[in-house]
Amino acid sequence: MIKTLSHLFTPQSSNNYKAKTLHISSLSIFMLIIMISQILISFVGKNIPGVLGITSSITAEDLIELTNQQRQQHDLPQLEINPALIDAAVQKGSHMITKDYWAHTSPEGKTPWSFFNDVDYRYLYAGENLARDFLDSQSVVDAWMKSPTHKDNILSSRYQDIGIAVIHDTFQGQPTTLVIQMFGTQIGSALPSVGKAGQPVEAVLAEITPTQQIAGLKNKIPLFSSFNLTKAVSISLTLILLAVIVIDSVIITKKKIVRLSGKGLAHLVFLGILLILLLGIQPGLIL
Amino acid sequence: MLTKSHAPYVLLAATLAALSLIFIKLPLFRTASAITIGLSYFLWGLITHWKDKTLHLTVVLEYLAISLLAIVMLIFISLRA
Repeated sequence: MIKTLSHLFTPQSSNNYKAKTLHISSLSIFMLIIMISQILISFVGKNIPGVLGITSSITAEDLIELTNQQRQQHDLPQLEINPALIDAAVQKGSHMITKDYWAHTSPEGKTPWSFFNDVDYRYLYAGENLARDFLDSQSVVDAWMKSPTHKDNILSSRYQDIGIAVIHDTFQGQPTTLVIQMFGTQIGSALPSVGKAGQPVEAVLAEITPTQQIAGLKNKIPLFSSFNLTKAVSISLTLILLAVIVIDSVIITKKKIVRLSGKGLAHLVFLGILLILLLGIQPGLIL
Repeated sequence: MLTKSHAPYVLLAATLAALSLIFIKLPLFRTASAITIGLSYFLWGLITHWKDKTLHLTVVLEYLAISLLAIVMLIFISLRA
């Protein structure tokens, strides 16, 4: 056992004075582990509902509240929930899932504005924010507020109405949460005065249940997040490599062994930055 | 203390740090920046060892394997994010 570990992690004659873990064959096995884990995650996510997915706590209520909080902080009037805009948001979300695209305009050229027209919302001003794969409502609004264009939508004094759809479904091959936020002001509407209270949130918010989930699993929270699982596997492998490179470099330097190999310090810098990236990456995309 | 021999490492760290910023800050370009990060390291390895006259197939394959491993990890985590 000790002999095997020593062979794997320290340079010695049995591994040609280079830790076996750092050999090309071992690095290839690492790559294979990553790929097989991804295939397994995709397979389990698709075929065994409720095991893998995202444990999202996003709700339309929270998003409306947080959006209006941001407006309040900037002395802007509260947005009123508009059922037609909710319908438009739901239709946009369903369209993206059915047609398998992630964009404001669909591949065949259907614009966000056509969804407003489809629900007979005759707009003077209209806007759309999208988000996917976030874990909670606060992260979604924070990401939007960090993006100038999304922030402009949230803090625009031109908008009077809002409609949000939160859709938990399988999208582009993996379980996800899509958020569609639509803003508008109807033709003929007077712009709202500052401080006008919004409609009670419970009234008309859209929470869309997954279309592909089987009965009984509707509200089941997935056991594992596919993102966290991928992150854990990648971080573990990177940490193993970093540890072995440190051990290998120390022994090589101490014993003054000359060998043909890559530069240990460079590997440490590269894998160190990779580790920081893996630790720092957070789920969620906005559009 | 930094000496002239550390210059390639400083250059490597600075380049990777800049690319990492792009990777984190521009989610829509994550695949492209992941490939650029891996490719930069691979090229850095080739150039540095070529200058040191220690460029051999084993070394090339070692840098290639580590770069590919990083690219694969970054692309898969981006796809799940």
